[in-house]
Amino acid sequence: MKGGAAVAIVAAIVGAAVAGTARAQPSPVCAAASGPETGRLTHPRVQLAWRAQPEPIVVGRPFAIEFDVCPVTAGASVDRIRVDASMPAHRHGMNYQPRLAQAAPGRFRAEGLLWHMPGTWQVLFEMRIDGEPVRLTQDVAVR
Amino acid sequence: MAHRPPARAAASAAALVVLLAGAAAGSFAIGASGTADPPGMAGTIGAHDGDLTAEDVDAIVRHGPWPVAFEPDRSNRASGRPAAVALGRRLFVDTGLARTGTVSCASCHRPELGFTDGRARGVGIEGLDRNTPSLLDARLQHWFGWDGGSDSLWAFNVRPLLDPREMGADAVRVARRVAAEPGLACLYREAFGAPPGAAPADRVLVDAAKALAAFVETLDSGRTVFDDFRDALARGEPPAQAASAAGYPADATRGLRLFVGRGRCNLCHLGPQFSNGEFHDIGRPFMAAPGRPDPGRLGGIRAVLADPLNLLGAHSDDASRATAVRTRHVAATHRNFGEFKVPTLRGLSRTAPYMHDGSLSTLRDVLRHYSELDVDRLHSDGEALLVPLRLTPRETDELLAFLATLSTPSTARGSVAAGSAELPGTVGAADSLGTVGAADSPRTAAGRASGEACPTGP
Repeated sequence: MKGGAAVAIVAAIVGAAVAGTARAQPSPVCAAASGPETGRLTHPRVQLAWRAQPEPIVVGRPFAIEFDVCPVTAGASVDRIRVDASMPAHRHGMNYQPRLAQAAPGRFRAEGLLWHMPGTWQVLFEMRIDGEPVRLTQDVAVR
Repeated sequence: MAHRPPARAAASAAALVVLLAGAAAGSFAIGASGTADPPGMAGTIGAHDGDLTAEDVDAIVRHGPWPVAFEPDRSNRASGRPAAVALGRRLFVDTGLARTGTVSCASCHRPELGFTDGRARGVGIEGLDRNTPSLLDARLQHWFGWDGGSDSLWAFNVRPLLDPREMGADAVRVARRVAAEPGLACLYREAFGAPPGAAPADRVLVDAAKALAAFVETLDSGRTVFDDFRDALARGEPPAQAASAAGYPADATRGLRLFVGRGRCNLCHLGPQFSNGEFHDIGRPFMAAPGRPDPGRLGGIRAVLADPLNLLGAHSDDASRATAVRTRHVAATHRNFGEFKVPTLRGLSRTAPYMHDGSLSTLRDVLRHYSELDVDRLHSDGEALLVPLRLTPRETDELLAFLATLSTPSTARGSVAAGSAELPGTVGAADSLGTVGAADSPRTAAGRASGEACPTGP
C-alpha cells in the first residue's frame, strides 16, 4: 500500500482539505523546546520537528501537534502549511479537521486531531517553500 | 490452552497475509496484520481449544478494566449530583411530559431490555425511523444517537422530548409540568437551587434534560464473566488458568480469539466499551422508507453543528469549552452518508433486534451479515476495512458464545453486582434494574436517598 497508492491517497486528502493552512515565519532553530520530540522529518529544503500533546497519542482521544519548521536556506519563504493524518492501509483519514495556528516564529500548533482506530497512522505536513510544494510524512503506530 | 509459541504466531500472521491476498482478488480487501490459522486450517480455529498468543492476550486486556470510573460531565452542572439523579429518575417515567400524556422515556427504554424496547424501530407517539439505542453506559459516549446528532447526553435528551413523533412536548409544557407536579418541583429546587417557576421555560427544559442525563449516567452495565477473564489475564495468569478461575467457556475463548484476530472486530469495537464511538458504513440499507434515505452521520454532523444546545453553545456549563473539542473540529464529508455509530457490545444479548434500523433480528443474523458481506453495498470511495469473514458454522457459534459473555453477570466475589434499584412510578417492580444486570452504583443509591425528601409522584 506504500508508494504510489499511498501518495495518491495523500494527494486526494490534500485536495479535499482546506483548513489548517497558514503562512509561516521560519523558525530560527528547529528544536523541540516544549518537551520530547515525537518525530523529526528531513527534506532537502526543510527540517521539521514535531511533538504530540498530550503524548503518547491514545486511540479515541483528541490531541494537538506542535511543530517547528526550519528551512535549510536562510530567508526562504514558507507558506501554505497544513497538517493532516490518514490510515493508508484502511484508506481513510480522520473524522476531524485540525486547525492550525502559529505559536511563535517558525512554530505552529494544530488542534483537533483524533485517531479513532488502532494501527498505523500517517501524519502529513504539507507546505510551500519558496513556492515549491513540500510534503513530509511519518508513520505512527497507535494501539 | 497454552500460550502459542511466538514462532508459530509469526508464521500464522504471514499465512494470513497470503490468505487475504488470495481472497482479495476481485474485491477491495487489503493486507492485514493479525493472527490466524494457516490456510489449510481455515475454519478450525477451535482446534487449539482457545489457544491464545501473547498478542491475543494484549488485545483482550485492552477491553478493560471495567467498570470505567465515573467522571462528572463538565458540560452539565447537574452531573453526579444526587438531587439531580433523583429528579431525572422521576422524569424518566413521567408520562405527563408528553403531549399526549401517554408515553415516557421508560416506554421505549425498558430496563429489562437493556433500556431498549425490543422493536425493530422505536415507537413514541408515532413510529420512528431507527432502532431505539440502549442507555446503558451512555455516560462513556461522546456522540449520541445512531447519527451522532447530539454531542452531549443532556442535549440528546431534549430530542425525544421535543420530537413530535416521540413525546411531542415543547419547552413551555415541560416547564409547566415540572412546576405543577409537587414532587418534580421539589426535586428541581433541590437539584438547581431555585424553583422551576423562577426560570424561563427554555432553561427549565434544558435543566430537565440535564437531570435526565444525571440519571442516565447511573445506568452502568455490570461486570461480566468476560471482565473476570480479562482481569485474570491482565494479572498475568496463563489463559487456561484465567479461564478456569473465571468460569470462562472454551468456545467463548475461541470466539474471542477470532474477534481480536482474524475477524479484526476490535478495530471498531475497541476498548472497555467495545466501541470506538465513531461512525462507519458496514453495507446495511440506509432507506428509512421507500424513496426516503436516512443520511446517517452526514445528517448527524449537520444537526449537531446547527444545534443551539451543542457544546459550543450557551447552555454548556463547561466555561473552558474543553468538552467541545470534537464538536469544534468534526468535519462532514460525502462518505459520511449512510454511516452509523458503532454500538457497544456490552449487554448485547438483551438489546435485539440489531443495527440502526433494527433490520437484523438476532446476533446470528448480524454475524451472517459480516460473514457474507456484500462489498458492493459499501461506499466505493470509503474506507477499506471490511471483507467477508466467511465464518464456518462452528466459528459463528464460537463468536456467539463470546458475545454472550458480554451479557453474563460476573460471579466473582467483590465485583460490582447487579443492583436492586427500581424505577419509580408506573414502571413497577418487574422492571427493577437488578433484573437486567445494571450496576446499582453509589450514585444510583444516593439519587434514591435524595429523592426521599420530596413528595412521590402522582
